[in-house]
Amino acid sequence: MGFSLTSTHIIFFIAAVSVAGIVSGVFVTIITDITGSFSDKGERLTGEIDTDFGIINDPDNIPDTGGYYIFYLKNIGESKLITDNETFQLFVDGDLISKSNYNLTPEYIYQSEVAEINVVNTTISSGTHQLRVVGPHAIADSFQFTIQ
Amino acid sequence: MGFSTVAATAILGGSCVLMITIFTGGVLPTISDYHEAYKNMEERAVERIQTNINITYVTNTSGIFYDLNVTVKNTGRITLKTVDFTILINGTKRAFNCSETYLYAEKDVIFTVNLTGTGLKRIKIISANGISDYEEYIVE
Repeated sequence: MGFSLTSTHIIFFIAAVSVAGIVSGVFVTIITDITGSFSDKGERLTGEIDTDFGIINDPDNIPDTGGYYIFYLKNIGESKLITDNETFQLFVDGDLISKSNYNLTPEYIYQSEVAEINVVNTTISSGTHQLRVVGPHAIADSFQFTIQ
Repeated sequence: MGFSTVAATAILGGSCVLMITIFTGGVLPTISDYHEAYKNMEERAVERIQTNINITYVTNTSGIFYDLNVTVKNTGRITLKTVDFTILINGTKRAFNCSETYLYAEKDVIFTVNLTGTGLKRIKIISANGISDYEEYIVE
């Protein structure tokens, strides 16, 4: 009888500790995942807020040099911008320009620096057009210009 | 029975402390970074509203290679760093010199651009935060 009572207590003890351990483990894992996701989301939002750029060309004088129209992109945000045709997508009058038809120099720009977007001049006809540049975090700027 | 309850409560209590530590350790720096970024964005927006520049005077020196001197007045309230300006002449970005490091409110600075060729020169000057002004000038 005495042995049964001890056994019962031991079984209860093991069961209680096991259940508490499992519940704790599950909750700690969930909280770790939530915290990780929250941090990632926070980083993305911070990056989005820190990113800003503008196209600063003279709309009536788009330079045409070496077979390329040159558009100037100024970093007016806080963060460094990686300037390549993977990060930046161009739309002219709503049509996506193929990556093979433009490039950006230099590779990155810091705050207040200017990058050049070189667009193959056969991709844009004469007349008035709308250029939309979409950069990191889907931050975008639009610019209306006229090719003489 | 009582000892089992104590042990389970201790495990759950300990895990609660661990969860709070993990959550605050991960979330608080994120909130702090976000707050900082938001504050910077707010400052940038205010600075943009309070920035204004005007090209007040343009002259040129003589010769085939001449200097175009562009006088710019800060008509806003923000002090601007002259090295962060961009100058476009007839749409093309040009290198320039400026005698002053900062352009203070209500003050003028002269930007000097080395050029060739006569005719109409359409000048666009852009500040670090994207505020700009245009002027046209004929070089004879």
